[in-house]
Amino acid sequence: MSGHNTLAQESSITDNFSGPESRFECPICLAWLRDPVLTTCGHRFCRSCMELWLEKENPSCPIDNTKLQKGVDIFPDNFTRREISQQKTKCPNIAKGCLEELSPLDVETHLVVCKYRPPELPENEKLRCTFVEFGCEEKFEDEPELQRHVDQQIQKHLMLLSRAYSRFTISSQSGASTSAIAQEANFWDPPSKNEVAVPSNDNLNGLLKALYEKVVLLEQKTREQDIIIANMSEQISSLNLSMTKMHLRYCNGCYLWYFNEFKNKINSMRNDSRIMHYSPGFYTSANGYRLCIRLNLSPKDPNYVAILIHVMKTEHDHALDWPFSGRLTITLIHPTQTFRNIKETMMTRPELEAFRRPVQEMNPKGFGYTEFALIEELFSQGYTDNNQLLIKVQAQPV
Amino acid sequence: MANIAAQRIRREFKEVIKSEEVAKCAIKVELLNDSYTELKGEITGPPDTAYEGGVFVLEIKVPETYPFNPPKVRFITKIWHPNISSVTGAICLDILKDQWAAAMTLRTVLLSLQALLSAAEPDDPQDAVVAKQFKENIEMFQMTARHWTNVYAGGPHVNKECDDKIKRLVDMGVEEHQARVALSSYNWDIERATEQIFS
Repeated sequence: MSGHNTLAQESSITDNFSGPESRFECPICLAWLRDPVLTTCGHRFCRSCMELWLEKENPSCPIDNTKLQKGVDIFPDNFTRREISQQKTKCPNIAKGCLEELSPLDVETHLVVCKYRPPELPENEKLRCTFVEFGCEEKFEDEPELQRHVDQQIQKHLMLLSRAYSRFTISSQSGASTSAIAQEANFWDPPSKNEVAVPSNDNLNGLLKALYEKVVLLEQKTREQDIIIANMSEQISSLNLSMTKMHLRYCNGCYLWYFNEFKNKINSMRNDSRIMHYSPGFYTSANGYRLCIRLNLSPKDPNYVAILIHVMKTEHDHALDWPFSGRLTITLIHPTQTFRNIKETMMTRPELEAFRRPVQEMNPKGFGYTEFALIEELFSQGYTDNNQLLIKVQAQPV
Repeated sequence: MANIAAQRIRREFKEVIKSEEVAKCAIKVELLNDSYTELKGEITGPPDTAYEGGVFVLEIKVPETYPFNPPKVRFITKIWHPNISSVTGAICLDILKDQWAAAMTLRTVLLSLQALLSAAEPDDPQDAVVAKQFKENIEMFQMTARHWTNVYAGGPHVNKECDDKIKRLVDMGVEEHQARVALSSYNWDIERATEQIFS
């Protein structure tokens, strides 16, 4: 059979606790080199391992296949032997008090005679895992070993616990509720006339316990439902908010402003001329200009209301053309008689500061009519229905 | 079992478990008894081969003279490959025979077998029928190997045509595996396969 070139690479064990460093490891027995020998191709083996290997026909090096001849290509490696004997390791029973330091080769022989060697405990004296009730069957010689197990097997123990828990809840639920209902029914039954109708103390106690359990369950349920309701109302309010935003965004430049409590607001503006009212910002189109309406008393003649339009900042201002140019129509709507609607249309004027790109949230300059309507007339001719004034603005960029 | 063999397998076992191939699920070893003489190996089919996606189970027997003699390994999962017997699962691989070296381990053996799956050696066959197909009609070989991987090793590629032909023979009363072997051996020519079975 010819050789397939399918040799994979060997890598050494990297277990710090059980295996030696690779330079001290025999590639044949994978243990510490015992009485090491060196081949002419530069590989180390235990003497006994190598001797056994060389009994084969046409022996070659187990590592690189170089032909080896017994007695010719093999030399004792006393350097490595000395190094290994200087590698002192501590007895594995150090935790139990053995302070012996040994060459790794002697550890095994020492362990047999080590006086700190833990005695094999009989099965029934071994420590049980603390989770034995939940199904962990492990047993241990001593406390630290048990502790290590508990630390390492958290996952397994959690699984056992959760399994036990689900069994417990199922049995307690079915058990508690049915017995409570049955006992309750008994309790409300009219007492039979023949017997002395005093339920025994035992019965009462049982009933109370069952009822208490039921109350706890119901309380738990109520709490859960409360949480669900709170979550839902939060959701609804956030939905409402986004609905309003959508409405302002997709009004297509036609916004109706319901100006509530007109009378009170007029009065307060009369007392303090600095008070101004602004509508929410609405968009001329989904990604268009954002405008708002301002209503206040005319600074020149406080008998008039002023209605002006302000340009507001948006997150997409950089994508718009400035200054804003277009047609703006303000209509003061009469609730019943259409012919009384006050409608003013105006074209923007590029030279005005009011139409420049706003640097603040809102352009401080507005554009509109400082004497839009006489307040007296608004009242006397019935513009304020329900103490509410309706202003419609249409904005069309051109 | 000789002390050195058991001790070595014990150490190798740790090595395989910690190796990155196990982390990648490419190879796996399980003990079948306490004396470390019988083990179960698993390798996955190498990517970009007809064996891709399949999991192949191996029987590993460790001789008393291990590691001075190689472990005895054969495929338990049926496989269509020039260097592996489609009947017994016996493997023709030099390192499991005269090219064995004591420094090799279970891990290197499994990796070498995986390499054998991606690089067949048809000039040194274990299964002459498979090797002939491999050399004469590589596409037919690939299709057959993929079909076997699907059926026996859980590979993903279902070949409806193969399944249909097998079903026709099964309907005639032929045992399924026998039908598959016959069809595979005669390049899925249903007439010649039938002839061979009933002759």
